[in-house]
Amino acid sequence: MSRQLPLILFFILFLFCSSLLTVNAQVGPLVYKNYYVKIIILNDCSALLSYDMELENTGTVPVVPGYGLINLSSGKVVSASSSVMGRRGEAVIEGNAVRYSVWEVINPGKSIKVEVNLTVSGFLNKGILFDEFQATIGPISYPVIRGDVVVVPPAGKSIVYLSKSSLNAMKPGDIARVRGELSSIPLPLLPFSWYPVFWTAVIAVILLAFVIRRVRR
Amino acid sequence: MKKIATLLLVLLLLPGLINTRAASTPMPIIVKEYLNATVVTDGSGHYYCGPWNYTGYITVLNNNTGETISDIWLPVYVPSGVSIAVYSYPSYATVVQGTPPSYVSANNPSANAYWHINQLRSGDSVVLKYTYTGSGCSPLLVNETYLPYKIVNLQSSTVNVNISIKNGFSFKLGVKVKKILPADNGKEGWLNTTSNPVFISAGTPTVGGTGLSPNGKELSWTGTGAWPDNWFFLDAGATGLVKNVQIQGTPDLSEVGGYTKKIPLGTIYVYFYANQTFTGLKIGKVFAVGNANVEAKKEQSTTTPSTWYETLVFYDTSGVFKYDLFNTTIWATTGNTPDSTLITGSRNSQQTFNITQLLPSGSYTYGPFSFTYSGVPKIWGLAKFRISNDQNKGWWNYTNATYSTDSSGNSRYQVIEEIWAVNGYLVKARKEIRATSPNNYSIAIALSNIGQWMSPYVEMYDVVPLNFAPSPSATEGGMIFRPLDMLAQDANPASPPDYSLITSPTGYTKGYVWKSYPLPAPQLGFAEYFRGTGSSNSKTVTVTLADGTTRQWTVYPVDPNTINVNGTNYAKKSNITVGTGASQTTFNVTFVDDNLTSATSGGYVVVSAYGYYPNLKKKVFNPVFVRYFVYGSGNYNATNLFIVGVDPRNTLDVLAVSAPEARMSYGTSNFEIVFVIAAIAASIIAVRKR
Repeated sequence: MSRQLPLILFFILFLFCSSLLTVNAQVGPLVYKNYYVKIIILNDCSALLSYDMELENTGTVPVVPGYGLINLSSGKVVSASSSVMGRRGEAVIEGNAVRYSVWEVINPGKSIKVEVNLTVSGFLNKGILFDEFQATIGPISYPVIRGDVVVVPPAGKSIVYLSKSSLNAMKPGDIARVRGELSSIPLPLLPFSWYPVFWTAVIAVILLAFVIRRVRR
Repeated sequence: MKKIATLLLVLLLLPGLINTRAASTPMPIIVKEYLNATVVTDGSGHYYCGPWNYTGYITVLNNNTGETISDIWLPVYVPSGVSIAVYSYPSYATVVQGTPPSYVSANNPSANAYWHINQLRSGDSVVLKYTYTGSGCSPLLVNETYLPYKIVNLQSSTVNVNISIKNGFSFKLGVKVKKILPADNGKEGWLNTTSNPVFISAGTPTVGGTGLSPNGKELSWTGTGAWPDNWFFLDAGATGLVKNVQIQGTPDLSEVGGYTKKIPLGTIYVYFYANQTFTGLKIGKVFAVGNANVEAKKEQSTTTPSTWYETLVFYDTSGVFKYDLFNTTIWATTGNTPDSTLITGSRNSQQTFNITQLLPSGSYTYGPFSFTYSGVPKIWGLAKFRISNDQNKGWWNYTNATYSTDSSGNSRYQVIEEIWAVNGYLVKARKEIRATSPNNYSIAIALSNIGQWMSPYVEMYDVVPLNFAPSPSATEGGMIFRPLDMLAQDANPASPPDYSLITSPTGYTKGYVWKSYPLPAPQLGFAEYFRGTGSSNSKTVTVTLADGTTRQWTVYPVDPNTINVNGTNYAKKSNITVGTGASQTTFNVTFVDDNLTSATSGGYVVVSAYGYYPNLKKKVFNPVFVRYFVYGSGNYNATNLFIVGVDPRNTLDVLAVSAPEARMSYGTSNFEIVFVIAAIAASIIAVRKR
C-alpha cells in the first residue's frame, strides 16, 4: 500500500494539472512520422532527453513549422541544443521550455528530421539501494505514426524495473508514461518495482530469525 | 491545417428504379443500391474522405399475376467485395444459393452466384441484400473552394465559390445540383437580416446551366439552370465545375458562442443516376416456370400395325406469362415407367434457345415421329421452358432502368458546407513578384490584419529559390520593411537591409524572417502597385476606419515623395486623418517607391493606418510592407510565403501551421527510506527482545 499511495497522489495531481497541459491540437498537415525519445540518465541524477523526430507534411501545400517548443511541466532545463536535417539549429531555453527553430520548407509528402537535446536536472529520485524515475511524455501537437521511448541507465547501474507505454499512433492530446527503477545491485529486470519486495524480504528475514531464536529458547 | 470543413452525409439511391413500367411487369427483378459516404471538404480546396459503403437490394416479385411461379434460378454477377444474403422471403418458400442445371449456367457465362427460389406465389417477393464497403474516396466527389475561405465576424463579405463534381465511376452519370443557403432567421452564425447570406451571382458552369431562385437563397445547376429541369451529364472520369458563384453575407458569431469557428455556408444536394449499378453487380438470364401442360400422344399405323407415331404438344396454360420453350423430348418404352427399356428409334429430342416462344394459351407440337414396335408402347414426353425476358409478359430486370424523376428516388448526395468565421484578428499576407528587367525581380509582400482585433506578434517567412540571389547582396536586395518601426527584431542596424533572421533552408538560396509588432485592426490602409505617376495611373482603393466602416479613395503617386488622395497631395511620411469620433482614423503615407518618377515607371505606395499597442505603449501600423530584389538565371518561380507563430485559423492567403509543441513532466517520490527504517526498527526490536 505504501507503494501505491504516491502513485495515486501523483495520478490525482496529474488529473488536476491535465487541463493545463493541453497543447494546440488544431488539425493540420504535419505528422510525426517518427518520434523517438531517448532518456539518458546521468550519475548526478540529471538526464539528457534526446528527441529524434521526423516531421512529415501530409497536406497538399508546402509548410514551414517555424518554431517548435518542448515544455517541461516540472523540472529544470540546464542546457539545450538542436539540429535540423543534420545541421546545427537554434535552441533557446525560455524558462521551463526549449524553443527550437525549424525553417526548412517541407513540401507535400516530404519529411524532415529534427533532433532536440536537452539536459534536465533532478530527473532521478535517489534512494538507498534503488533509484526511481517517472516521466510523462505528451501531449504532442501532431499525431505520431511511429515512436518509442528508450531509457539508458548511468554507468554502474542497471534498470531493474521498467514500465512504459508506447508512443506509436499517439494522437494530439494523448500522453505516454515511463516509470522505472535503477539499482547498483545486479538484480534481474522485473515487471514490478523491486524495493518494496526487497525490503519486505529483509524485514521478513529479520523477524523470522527473531522468531526462530525465541522458539529455540 | 485550416480544416474548414464539412461534412457530408450521403444518402443515395440507386440506378435500378422501381418505376411505372415495373408495375406492368409480371415478374420484375429490381435492383436498388444505396450509398452512404462521408466526405470532408474545406474551403481551400482540400477534401478528406471518410468511410463509405453501398447497400443493395435485389427483389424478385411475383407481381400479382394470380399464378404461382416456380423453380426460379436467379444468376448474379457478384463483384469482388460484395456479399449477398437472404433479406426476406415468404415462409413457404425455400431460398438458397446453389448449383443450377447446366442449361442455366451455360446461358450465364459471367454469373458467379446462383440463387434458387422453389416457389413464389402471386403478390409475394423474395429480397436479397448485399453490401460493399469501399476504401479511399467515394467515386463521386464533390468539392468546393472559397475565396476568401475565412471571413470576419460582423463584416459583410463576398465569398467566391467554385463547385466541382467529379464522376469517378466508369460510366456516365446524369447529375443535378441544388445549393441552398442558411435561412435568414436561423441560428447558424449569420446576422439575422433579410437576405443574409444570399447568392449574388450564379457563376459560370462548364457543363449545363446555373440559375438562382427569386429570393437568392437557392442555386440550381441543371441542364439549363432552371429547377426542376433536365440532367446534365458527366462522362466517366469527367469533372463538372461552376466558377465564381458569389455569396454575400455578414456573420454574427454571437449566435454560436462568439468564438472563431466554422459556420454553415449552405448545403449542396447532388442528384444523380446511372444506367447500371454502382457496384457493377449484374443480373443474368433468369430461369423460372409458370403454368404449362405437356401432352404425349401415340398413334398406330392403320396399314402397318407395328409402326407407331408419337407426338409431343406443349401448352402455355398461363394467363400471364410468355414462355421460351428450349427443350422437347419424346420417347417410348416397353415398360410402365419412363426409365424402362427404350424402344429403339423412339427417342426424339431437341434443345435450343429458343425452339419457340409461346404467348399465353399458345401451344407447340413436336412430331409426329414414327418407330417400329410389335407390342403396345408407352409414350413419354418432356418439355423444358422458362418465362421469357419480356417487360409485359415475363421477367424484366430493372437494374438498368433509368426512367426516373426526383420524387421516385434518384441518387442524392448531400454536402453540408461550412466556412471559417473569424472573431479576432485575421492576418493576410500577399506576395507580388514583378520582373523589373531580364533576370531581375522585385519581391513585394504586404502583411495586413483584416480582422477586428489587434493581432499578436506576427512572423513572416519568405524563401529565395535556387539560382537566384538577393541583389545587391550587401543590402539583401535593397530589402526594406515599412514602417521600419514595426520590425520588432532588426538583425541589421542599417536600413536596408531590414529583416529579423536569415535562414538556410535546404533547396533554397536563403530565407528571410520578419518579425512584426502586433498589427492593429480594424483600421487598415493599403499597399498598392501603380504603373506610374499622375492621375492617369490612379486607382480606387478601399481603406477601413477604426469603427470598421470603409472608404473609397482615389489615389495616384505624384512623384517619389508625394501621393494624391481624393485630389489632395500628401508628402511621404505625412498623415491623413479621416472621420470623427469613433471612426476617426489617422493614416500615414508610409512608403512611396523611388522608382515612381514618370507616368511609365511603376512602383509601390503604402499608406498604413495608425493603432496603439498598450503593452509597449507604442504606435503600430496596419499594413506593413516588405520589398527586396533578386537576380538570377531562368524564370523566377514564385515560392510560398509562410506565417509562423500565430494560430493558423487566424491566417488568410498564406501558409501557416501550428507550431510543433510537446510537453514532458517528470518526478516521483521514493519511499524506500520507509522500508529501510522499518527494517532497522525490526532489527532493533529483535535484538532487544532477545
